[in-house]
Amino acid sequence: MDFQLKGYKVEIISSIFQSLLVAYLILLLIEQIWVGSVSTYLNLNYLLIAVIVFGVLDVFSEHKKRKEKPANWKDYTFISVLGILGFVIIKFKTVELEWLSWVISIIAGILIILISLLVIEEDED
Amino acid sequence: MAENKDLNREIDKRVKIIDNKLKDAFSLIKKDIQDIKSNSNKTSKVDTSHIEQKIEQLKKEISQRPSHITNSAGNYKEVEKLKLQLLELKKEQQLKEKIESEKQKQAKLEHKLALKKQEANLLEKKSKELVNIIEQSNKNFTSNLKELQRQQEILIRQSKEQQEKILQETTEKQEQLRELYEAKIEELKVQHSFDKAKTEAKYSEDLIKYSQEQDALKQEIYDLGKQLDKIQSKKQYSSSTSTSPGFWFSLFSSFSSTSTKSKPVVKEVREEKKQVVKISKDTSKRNAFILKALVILIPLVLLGYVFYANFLASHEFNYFYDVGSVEDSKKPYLTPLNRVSDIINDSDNSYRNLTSNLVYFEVPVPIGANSIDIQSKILNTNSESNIMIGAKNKQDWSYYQKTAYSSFLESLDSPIYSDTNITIWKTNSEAKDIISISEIENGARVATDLPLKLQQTDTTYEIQNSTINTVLRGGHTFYVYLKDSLDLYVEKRDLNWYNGTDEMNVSLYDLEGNLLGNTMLSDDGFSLTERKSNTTVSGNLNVQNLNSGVYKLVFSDADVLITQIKINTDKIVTNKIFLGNANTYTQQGDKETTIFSSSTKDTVLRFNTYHAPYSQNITIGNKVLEIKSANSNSPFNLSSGSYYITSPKSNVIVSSSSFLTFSEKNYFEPFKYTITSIPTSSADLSGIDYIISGYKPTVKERNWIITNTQFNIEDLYTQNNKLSLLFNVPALSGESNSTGQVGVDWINITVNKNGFSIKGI
Repeated sequence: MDFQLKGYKVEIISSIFQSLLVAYLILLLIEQIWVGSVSTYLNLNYLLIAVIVFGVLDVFSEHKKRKEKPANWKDYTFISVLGILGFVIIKFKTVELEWLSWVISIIAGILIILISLLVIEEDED
Repeated sequence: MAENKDLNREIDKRVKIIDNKLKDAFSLIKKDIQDIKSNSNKTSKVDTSHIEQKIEQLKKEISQRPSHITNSAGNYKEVEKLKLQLLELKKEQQLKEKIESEKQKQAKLEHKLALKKQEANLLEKKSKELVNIIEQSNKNFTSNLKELQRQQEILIRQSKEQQEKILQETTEKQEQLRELYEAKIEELKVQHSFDKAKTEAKYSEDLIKYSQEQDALKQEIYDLGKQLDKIQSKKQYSSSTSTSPGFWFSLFSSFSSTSTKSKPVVKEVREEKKQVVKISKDTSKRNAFILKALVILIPLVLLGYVFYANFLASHEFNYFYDVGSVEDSKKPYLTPLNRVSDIINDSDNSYRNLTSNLVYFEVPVPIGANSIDIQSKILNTNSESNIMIGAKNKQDWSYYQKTAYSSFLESLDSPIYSDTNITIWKTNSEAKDIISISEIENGARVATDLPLKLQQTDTTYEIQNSTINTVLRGGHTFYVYLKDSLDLYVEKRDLNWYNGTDEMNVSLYDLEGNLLGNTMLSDDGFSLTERKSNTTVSGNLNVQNLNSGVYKLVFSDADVLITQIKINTDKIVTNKIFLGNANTYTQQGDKETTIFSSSTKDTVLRFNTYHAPYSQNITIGNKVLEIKSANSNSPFNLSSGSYYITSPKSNVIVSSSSFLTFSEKNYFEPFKYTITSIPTSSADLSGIDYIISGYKPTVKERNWIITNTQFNIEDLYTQNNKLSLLFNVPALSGESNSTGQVGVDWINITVNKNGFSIKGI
């Protein structure tokens, strides 16, 4: 069965999905750092259901082919920021592990940067 | 109709029953008559037959006898004849008797028959009456039915009329609407045809204009071609290169847009097209912008809501723990389980009993919460048992405990004032009624569990240096009156009874609790349990720039004897003194120690010793109190006045809500009113004017009580946004011999979080 959404609906669904996903991830991060600050007032599972529904619809949508641009300094900066952010968050969450916390958070930060670079390089190839 | 049928059926049934009864009655009567007749016939036949036979036999005998016998004995024959007559007479008599008796029987039967007939008549009469009643009911029913049918017909007729009316109205309305609709359609058609005609006219005009322009252009091109041909022929170009006017026409027609006359039209069309494309693009851009804005708004709204909920809005979170419920059986609210009973179900409640004194439960506490209210429904069968609720206030095991049920406070009269924060009881009838702490009068004695601010008296004292040689055991807290500075010299001797070093901190605080200066007296070098106390360690504490007034001087608790205090004031008092000049500590024999106390109110002194050999008689003024045993904490009711208190052996702890000191000249009243801890029994109420507590009196509900306890979250320790709470029932500890049960039915917890507010708004 060939079920695909087309036209302007695709744009709408795609935008809503991205927007909801970003909102969910930000709220999840806030919840992880300040436990209870989100879950006390908002059940994130409902938001997750919405993200999944729009994600599924987005998968079944017919997207326009985008021009693939080569990675530039902005991408590398973004990856570095993400790596540092990941390192800080993991350090914060594992602070009770003392020296092991440093090891885990540094490795995690490096992994985030390396995997992101790998994805970018793969796209370019 | 169905009811009618049922009624007829019922009537038929009853008539049949009456008919059957009558038939039965008549058949019984007939049977009786038949029986009588048959009986009368039978009796007459049976009773006379044997006599008749005998008569026949005698007749035969007489006739059969020979004549000689008959002749010879003529008399005998005569006798025989007489006998016969006699028999016949007897027979006749018997018959008569029988007839008489039969007549009597017949009369009885006739009487019975008459009765039966009478009964039958009655039944017949009754049946007739019933038939009449039924007929009457039937008539009534029929008339009612007719009336109802008549009314029904009227209603049907009215309904039909109404229906017809409505139908007519609806039809009329429909007709009107149809007319309106048709008129509208007609109007629209006219408008449409008008528009169409207008558009067509415009198109026609445009078309004519365009065709005219086209013709003109064609003509112009044709003329140009002609002129060009002429020029070319003049130049005598070869015929092969010459071109016809048709060629130039087609050539110029392809460049017609460049012709001067066609330019404005084409330009206009192009501009129009551009404008349309531009408008279309603008619209798309605007729609895309609105859509993007809406989509971006989703996370912004969510984040904004979370921010608002966390920092701006006020919230009240309610958690209800129904102990003994199905949820509790699946995931128990109270832990550990070995300190609570299984679920108990009685007629009204399902609950658990606390079986040990420390039982914990948890509650989620959101970030920024301010206070927590804990209500609990508790069954306390031992009214003497206190119940505490504690909230964790440190990372280590430490709980800030408040009394949820106090047997002592519950036994007091109603409080004179109560609000959400404090409850005030007046325990001295002569004290005035107050509704706040600021109204407490000078000289009053207040028992409290609240951190009330101590207020010093306005009295000023002339002070002198003094030396205190009374040996004291362990930590002490003194209130001292100072001017300008503190010059303190302290000597201590370590007892070395316990493992570890024996440093002693000496600190000076103001009445706000601010530390103004401190010093530490170091250990004597023996840190084991040598029980050597030879070395004296001394220290000085100097604090300058003090205002005249009352200060708190604290000697921290340590395994030491304070052997000498030299201080630049002679005004020094305390609520508790541990006299240490005893052989067990000094190895220099038991020494008599005298202290002084004064009070304007009746008070209670308490005396205690930890060692049985130091049971002794304490002299208080001219009275004597015997300390009979160790750890007896003996009370002594002291009337208002000044007293010297003498302990012959020392090693006694003396405590009181009034102040104690070393001599009369050391005594002074430091505060406007005295603060002491809340007593545990009414025996200790002597001299106390008010009890001020954060305790909320319980509400009684049959055998149960509802407690109410409040905590400030600021004072507490939460981990992963959860607060640990506990029930502490000292009576349930292993050391207590108390009996009774403490059941918990439910716990209702409200966590309050204040929203953002600007003071003054």
